[in-house]
Amino acid sequence: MSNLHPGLVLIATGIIAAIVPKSLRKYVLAGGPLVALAAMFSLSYGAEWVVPFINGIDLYLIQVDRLNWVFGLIFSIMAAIGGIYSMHNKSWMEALASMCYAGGALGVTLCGDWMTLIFFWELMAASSLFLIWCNNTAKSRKAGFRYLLVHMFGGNMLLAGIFLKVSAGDVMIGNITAVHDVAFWLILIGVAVNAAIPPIHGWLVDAYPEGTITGSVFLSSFTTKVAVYCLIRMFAGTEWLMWVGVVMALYGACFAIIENDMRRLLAYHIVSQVGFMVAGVGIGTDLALNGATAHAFSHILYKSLLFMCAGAVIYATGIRKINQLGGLGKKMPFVFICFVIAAFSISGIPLFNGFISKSITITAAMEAGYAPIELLLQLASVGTFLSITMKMIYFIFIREGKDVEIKNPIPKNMYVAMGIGAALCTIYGIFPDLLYRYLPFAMEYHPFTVDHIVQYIQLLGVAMIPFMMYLSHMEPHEQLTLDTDWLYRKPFAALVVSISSLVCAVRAALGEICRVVYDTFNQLAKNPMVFLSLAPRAMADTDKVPDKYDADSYRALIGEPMIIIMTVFLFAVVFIAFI
Amino acid sequence: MKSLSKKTIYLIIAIVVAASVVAEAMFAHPHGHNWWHTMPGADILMGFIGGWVLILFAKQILAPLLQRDEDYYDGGDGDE
Repeated sequence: MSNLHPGLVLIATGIIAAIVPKSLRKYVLAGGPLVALAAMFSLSYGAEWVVPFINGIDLYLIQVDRLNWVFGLIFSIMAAIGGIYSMHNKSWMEALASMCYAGGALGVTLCGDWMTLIFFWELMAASSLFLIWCNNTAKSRKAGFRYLLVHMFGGNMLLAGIFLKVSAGDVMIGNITAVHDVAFWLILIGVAVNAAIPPIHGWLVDAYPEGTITGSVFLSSFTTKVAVYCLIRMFAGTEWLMWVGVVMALYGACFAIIENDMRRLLAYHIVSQVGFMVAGVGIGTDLALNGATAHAFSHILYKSLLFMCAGAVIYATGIRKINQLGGLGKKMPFVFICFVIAAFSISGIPLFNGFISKSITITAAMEAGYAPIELLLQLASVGTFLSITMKMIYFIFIREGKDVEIKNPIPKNMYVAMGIGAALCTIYGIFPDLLYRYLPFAMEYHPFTVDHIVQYIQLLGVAMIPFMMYLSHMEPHEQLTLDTDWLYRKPFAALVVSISSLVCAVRAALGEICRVVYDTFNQLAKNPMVFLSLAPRAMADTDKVPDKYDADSYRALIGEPMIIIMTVFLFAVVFIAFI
Repeated sequence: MKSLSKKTIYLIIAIVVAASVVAEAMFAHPHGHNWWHTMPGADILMGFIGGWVLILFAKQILAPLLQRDEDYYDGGDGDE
């Protein structure tokens, strides 16, 4: 096997990019991921890299099969596209964080055992946080802290589950659905946090829009799709997950219709599209799991392209709200074309890559006899088409009447990255076998049949009519949409504040009691004789009690004992002398 | 979309969808399990009704219920 771990190559790329001079950083960011991609191609099915760890446990840093190879491939491709997109970036920390994050994703994907998984899992959480913080606004700092708290919760759940697994002697990752024990639920919660399964998806739509322009492109690609990989690997065939997937698909689509922030809208569509994948995991047939894998692959390409285009718009105009944008099609034609390609892809329009992957899951639902799942996923496809292809393209690029100024010219490297993304979305859409040949399970599936194509033409063509009829009400408003993050930003925050106020009050009261006791004791300790009611005789007549202990006040007079001693001595002398 | 071009767009949609129904009736080999897989044009219903349901649900129910002012979260989210 190759000696190069693609994930470690990316981490090394990040470290090198952080320490080299600014002038060289862009070459490292562009070149490092290509080395990782080459390393990925050099890994063959069955490749292993085992490193001994403590207590006789081996760490399987690499254990390749068909499933994780295809995920590794798309993560490597995405790191390369993201690297090119961020070449102009001057921030060393962002370069380090983005490459460590992508490397962590590859580490989780390629590893074979639980211990390695949790290490890279936490590396992803920690490094991705800096892609949010690097935006360096008050909003991003706060969103980053919330992101950190949610991922600490998820990571610790996963860690607890893994402790149970490893301590039971089960060190290798595999399908864990046989027994629904505590470890099963803990690991599921940990993975579900990263997969943004409602109601624990609030972190995604909260944090991703606050990331840096280049950071959000990375963020949109890795965390949720790594979680999808874990779901396929560990939870395939967990039937109720398909209903969870359907809820996600519709939830994201509905919220996206009313959302005003470009990147938050796209974040809702991550929830929606990951819903298709989770549904595939729940259906659990070979075709459905291939559908989930293929859709993750396609999704990374078109979603990153959407984030790149949205980032380019924000970079050029400084505006992130849809209601403030308009008419950019003429001012930014290349971005417009790329955005249209990405929007057609995510909507599942034939000849673009969403069509060749989304339709697999829907067909799998039909063939497995889950008619409601099939219909509801189609409904979610309509929602995706309405909110991205129709709403975003019309309001951002086509409509007239908004005079948006292009303040900053877009760097060439961003154009190149968007061009590569658009080309890949189209190539995979026209030649699906380029992807199908790498899918983990054998399948007989042909996307370009007349009934498939006709179905999407009818479904999406007719869906344009309600949008156009309702166009005057479709423009989003300058408002914020509450989501489940409200639970921990308002009531939970209030609960924390109440509890901490209570604890503070108790602490203050205890402090006051201690202070009074201390003062009293201190006062008395100045002259313990007063406390013991042994005030000096010399002062017995007066009311004045001395503040401080004075030994002289308490000594008996010398005369009386001297007289006694002298008398005894005299008697002794007389007795000895005369008797 | 201007009102004139809107009409043109409706016309294009109508032609494309009608052509698709004809193509479906003549060339498709439906292999579905339910009636909507075999009835030509069934997806038209899904697209139209589904589109309205999603738009109205989002705009008429979700938006009034869940949308707040931008400074809803403590108003201190601006740059410090």
